[in-house]
Amino acid sequence: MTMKTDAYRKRVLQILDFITEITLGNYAYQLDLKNHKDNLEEIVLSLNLMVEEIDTAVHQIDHERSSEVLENMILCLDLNLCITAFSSNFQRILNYDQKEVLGKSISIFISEQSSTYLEAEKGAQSLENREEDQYPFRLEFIHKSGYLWICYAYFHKAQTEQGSLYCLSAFKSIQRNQRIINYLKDRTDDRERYPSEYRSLLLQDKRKILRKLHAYIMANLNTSLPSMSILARTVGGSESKLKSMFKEAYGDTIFKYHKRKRLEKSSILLRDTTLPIGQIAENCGFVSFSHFTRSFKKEYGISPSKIRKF
Amino acid sequence: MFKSEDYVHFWIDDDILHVVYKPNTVIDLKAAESIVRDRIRFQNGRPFLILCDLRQLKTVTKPARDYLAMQGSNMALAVALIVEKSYSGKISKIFINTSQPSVPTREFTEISKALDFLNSYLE
Repeated sequence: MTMKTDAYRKRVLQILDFITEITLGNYAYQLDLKNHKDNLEEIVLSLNLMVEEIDTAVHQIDHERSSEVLENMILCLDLNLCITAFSSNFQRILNYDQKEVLGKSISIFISEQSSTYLEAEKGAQSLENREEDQYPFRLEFIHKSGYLWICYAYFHKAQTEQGSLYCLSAFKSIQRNQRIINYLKDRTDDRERYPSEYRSLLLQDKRKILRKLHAYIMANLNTSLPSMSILARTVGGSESKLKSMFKEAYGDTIFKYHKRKRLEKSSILLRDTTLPIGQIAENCGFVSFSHFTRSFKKEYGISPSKIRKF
Repeated sequence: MFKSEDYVHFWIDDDILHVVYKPNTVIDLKAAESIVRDRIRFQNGRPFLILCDLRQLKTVTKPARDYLAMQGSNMALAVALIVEKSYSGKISKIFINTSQPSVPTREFTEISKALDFLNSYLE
């Protein structure tokens, strides 16, 4: 009973730390999910869903200030998978001191599932002449507070003058927003410049309209879009504002984006179904077969019939 | 007619495509892509009404949710999600409201009601 209570308390503390991270603008972590589904796990699931949605919303709204960057951590491991060296961002991301890391087994810092995978990889690498290409695998690091930093990694055996070691290179794509970083660095005098209630409402409106427009586009991949004036009337907002907001959020004009999505749909249908190409062209809103072939070739550099032959 | 993949079971019954997620499955983007690819191959060009049972699912990542809402709607006429009120219901609510699937999608806790919803799309 006591053990259960301790585990429960530990989990609650972990959740509270996780909420603090979100409050501080760190959206790169996830809480690990247990296999049982009690109320606490439901809270954990909801927080994980929430942090992903916040991350998307923040970077979508402030598109021009957010950029995708690749966070890369490097660890050197000895033949027993104990850490001998690590890149400096390891401490920043997972919040451990140097003395807590050096000489310790990697299994302390990764989930059980990841640990099992790494041991198996190590076994495979000890086989001589292992020449097949490696693929990145999913790796779950554990933050000092218990939540996960989920990334992809490569695991290589490397040779040094002193002998062999392993090199673990982990990477994760994250959104970085300079404005948020600056705000968090220097809160005291920047406090008043943080989005006012009015600005928040404007952003909320903007997001609603964008969503409506995006949903409209995705629901009409089988036909051409109406004119800008009809689109503007359908989703609300002025034509020029709609155009600029869309480009800002999706990096493309409304009509180009629509065409790209129709071509993506057509490539899926070409690859994964045996539907006649003419019917696929029609299903994806192209008025003529030649128009479809031309557009497809322009986008992918290959004709639809050739894609099918692969 | 039954087909099993790494994450889901597919089968067709009474013109409805049934998709059941395996216990404690975590769906990331790669998993979502393989599920959609296999489903579309399974359907082979024929659009279907889909009954999708999420009750045993562990979680779906955001990129996977967005992918399932967009590309995942290809060759689907309408989708009924079977969930529990708690847990998987949280996933479906977020999925429907924020990822916004491009075909009619609703969540149900009872299979009979889900089938009624899907059958309303049959002519």
